[in-house]
Amino acid sequence: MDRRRFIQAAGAGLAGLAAGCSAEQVEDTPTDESSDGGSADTPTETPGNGDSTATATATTTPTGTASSGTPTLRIGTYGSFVDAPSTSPGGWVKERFESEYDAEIQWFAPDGGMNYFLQRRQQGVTIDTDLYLGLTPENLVTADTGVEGDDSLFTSVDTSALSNVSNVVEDYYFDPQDRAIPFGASYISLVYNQNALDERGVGAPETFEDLAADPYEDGLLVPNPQNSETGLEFLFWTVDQFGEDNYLDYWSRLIDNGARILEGWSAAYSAYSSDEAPMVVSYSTDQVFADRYDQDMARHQVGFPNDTGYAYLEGVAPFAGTDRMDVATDFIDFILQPDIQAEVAERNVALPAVSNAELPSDYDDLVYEPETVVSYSYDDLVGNMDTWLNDWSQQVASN
Amino acid sequence: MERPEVVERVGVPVAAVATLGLLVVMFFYPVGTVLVESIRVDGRFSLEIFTSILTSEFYFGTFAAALSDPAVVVRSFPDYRLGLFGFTAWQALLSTLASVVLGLPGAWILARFEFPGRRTIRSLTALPFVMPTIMVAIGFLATFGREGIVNQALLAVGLPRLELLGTLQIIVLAHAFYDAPLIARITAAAWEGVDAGMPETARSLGASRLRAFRDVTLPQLLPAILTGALLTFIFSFMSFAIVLALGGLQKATIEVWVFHSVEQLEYGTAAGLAVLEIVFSLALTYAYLQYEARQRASSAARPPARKPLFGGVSLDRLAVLGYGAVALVVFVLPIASMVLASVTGAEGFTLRNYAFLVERQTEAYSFQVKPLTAIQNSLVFGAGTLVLAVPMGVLLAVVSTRGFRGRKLVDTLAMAPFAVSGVVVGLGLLRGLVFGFEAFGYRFTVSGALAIVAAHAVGAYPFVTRTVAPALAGIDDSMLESARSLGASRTRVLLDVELPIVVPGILAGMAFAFALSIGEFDSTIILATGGTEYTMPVAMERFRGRRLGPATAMGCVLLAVTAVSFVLIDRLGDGRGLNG
Repeated sequence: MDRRRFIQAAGAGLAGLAAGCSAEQVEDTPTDESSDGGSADTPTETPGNGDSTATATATTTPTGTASSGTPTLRIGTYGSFVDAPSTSPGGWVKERFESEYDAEIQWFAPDGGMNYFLQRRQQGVTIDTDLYLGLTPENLVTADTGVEGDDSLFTSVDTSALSNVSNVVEDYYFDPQDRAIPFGASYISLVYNQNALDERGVGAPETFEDLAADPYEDGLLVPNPQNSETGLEFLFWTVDQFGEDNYLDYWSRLIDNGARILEGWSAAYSAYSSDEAPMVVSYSTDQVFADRYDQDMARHQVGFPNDTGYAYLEGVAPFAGTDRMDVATDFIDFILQPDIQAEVAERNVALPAVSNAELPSDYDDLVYEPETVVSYSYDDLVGNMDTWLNDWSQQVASN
Repeated sequence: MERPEVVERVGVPVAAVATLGLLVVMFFYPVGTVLVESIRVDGRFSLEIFTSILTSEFYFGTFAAALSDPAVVVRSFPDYRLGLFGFTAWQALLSTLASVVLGLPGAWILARFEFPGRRTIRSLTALPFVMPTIMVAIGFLATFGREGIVNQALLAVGLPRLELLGTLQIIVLAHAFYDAPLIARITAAAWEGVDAGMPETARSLGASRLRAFRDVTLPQLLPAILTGALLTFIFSFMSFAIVLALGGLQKATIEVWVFHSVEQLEYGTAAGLAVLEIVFSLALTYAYLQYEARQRASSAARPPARKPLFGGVSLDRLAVLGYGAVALVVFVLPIASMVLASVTGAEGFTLRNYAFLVERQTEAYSFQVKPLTAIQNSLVFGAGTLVLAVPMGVLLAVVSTRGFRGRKLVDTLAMAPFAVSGVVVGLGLLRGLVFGFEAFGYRFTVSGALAIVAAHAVGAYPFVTRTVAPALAGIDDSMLESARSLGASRTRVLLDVELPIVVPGILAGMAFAFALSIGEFDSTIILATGGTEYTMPVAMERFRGRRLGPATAMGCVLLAVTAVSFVLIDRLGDGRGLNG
């Protein structure tokens, strides 16, 4: 290869590499001028849109650049809200919101969910996002214990600006600091295949002890509590049912009976769909999905062991430091509207958080609610959540 | 062609410095930022994390208990607790044995028989190794699951079902799926380097076939086999996604815990475990390099003649048939099941899953994962990986064939990415480069895409080195000496004599690097946060919802792209170099 072509190729390669680098000027912060000025722990309280800080570079990677036109609202959420292969509300919400308000939504679903933003905060990097949609009580506990001092990752919104907030079900509130506004709910339950159980000659499982008993051997798939909300709340459910001192013993019996712990909800559910086992831990709204796609209902039976179900609550909260608080409040107001709540609930295969949502008439037939609802509050979880999960993890993986 | 003198004089050293610089930026610094958390507790230097891990029964079982109370060793005999490390080493050992058992017959067939498609099959032996874990997990579920192909066949014949998922056996089998073809390939290459004259001489002196093999051929193959075995052990030791997917949390390995700690943002524990893993793996890598040095046989005076595979019945051919059946079930069936699953639905044959891909491509929102974008990204990142990994890998191979003190240490450090998990690399690149570092009042950041290419290149360059170094070492020294005696500088000898000879090795390394980049998942998923930088394996993960259908369709696309590019690049080397 002659020299000119080599230099061209090398130059092109280097240019390509350099194009990926950028430098932004860091704002001086009055807080925390610790000993080494260049430490990465200096929290830079830059507002949500990183580009509004003074930039002094050739190439920057713009995120959500706001021109003088419509403001952009950047919303972080979990993957399946915007991008599930079957159904997700994200696209519809975006279109509807943009038709009613003069603003643009930019969805952002990093792998790792809320922890991604917590990580950025801990490293002193700008979060660049205005809202997080899909907060659970566990997320809040992690977020609050993960930041220093009184710095919160989230902030609260002026609820007087939310027209339908008075119709939000009282029991769904889970944030003692009133940052997260509930926008959806569901119940963790068993989903089982009646045909497969008939083949075994057993009836539907009635209690937790049933799951650990011989007739239901090799019968249960559980999403890993380490990285799945579903599995984690199932774990809490057993802590509630058996007590802090006995739940580990129950789990050792459950696992001896062949229950398998798969790496996430979709791994567990897709294995269940492939008939790996007759029962899976999932949501009590399962038949909404099955009905929409004309599935055999016998494969989508919902069970509440001990007649209880665990409440799965989701909320939305703005990130502290966002400069789009007005648009963010508009969005929260929008998502609490009855018709929006109904549509989101259907597309998300969940329940609305407001009592005046207009759901289709057969929705009630397809969604099951337990007699007794189990739920750990924020205060219950602080200090206990990590211990329960770690003790459980170590027992399960012990050799 | 005339090169300026300055290139001749400083070419190699400058390239070496550039490579070192790249390695520091892309690998040592990012990984260092993660590992340093293991000795930092509350901002102070402390070995607390290591002491707590080493004395924990959960991690080290009875050994840890024995540290504080040696009598426990006697008391609990023979029920020793393995602990997480013990179990990880145990499953790695079993995986290595299984891979060797499954790989050696394959090597025999590749080296000693002639059949149509032999060269393509030889190219494809490296394919299982580069497949993303999600694809293998889905393939194994479709093959060995309760309603999988194997069980359906057994039921059809009247035999009872096999409950394989969730067991240690299936994990070992999956590791063998990954590594046995590699062992076959490495051993076959070494076998082809055995001079045919030696066993023939042995036979003419009265030795039986078996004796000639055992005493003459096998000792020459042993270094290659051990190389493969060591590689397999290290990869199985560091395995986590396959373990979680097929075995569940009950069969967790160390790496599962590193991943879990990272997800919980408990970096201290994650770093501590990662450091222990690295120390263990590096020690083994160092041992591997010792064996590899002995593996450098020069090209054979006369490679052994090949027998035709198809022909009359003989003991040999029956053995091949038997092995072929096993190989079919272990290596081909998982892939075939996935392909089959992609065109099967509840109602029989259906193209619904592929229709989903097309639909996604045409109708999806910008924030949703699109198949074509995933393919494009994978190819672009693959090309970027080649730009970085190939020069680095070749240069390190060159350095490793020059003799100087401490060379083995340099070798081991250059092979360090083998010993570090993709999770740690991804996390390090995220925190070190993507989040950026502050200097002189500016925050320097690197885009996610570039970080992804860096992660892929870091994982790929050791393979380029490992394919090129033996080829370089196998060049007849007299050739190089003649060139030098005719007045060529060292750089000139390198560029004009050595490198052109090892072009097949370089191309093989390139094929590997490209395929590795396409299949990489652990680091990519951490770094592809921008929403537009997803690759094909990430797309597969996103498409896995309530049913596996769409994910299997994406998997078939990934398979096709990988196989085609792999065979293309690898076969480009045929007809070049010395053995053309």
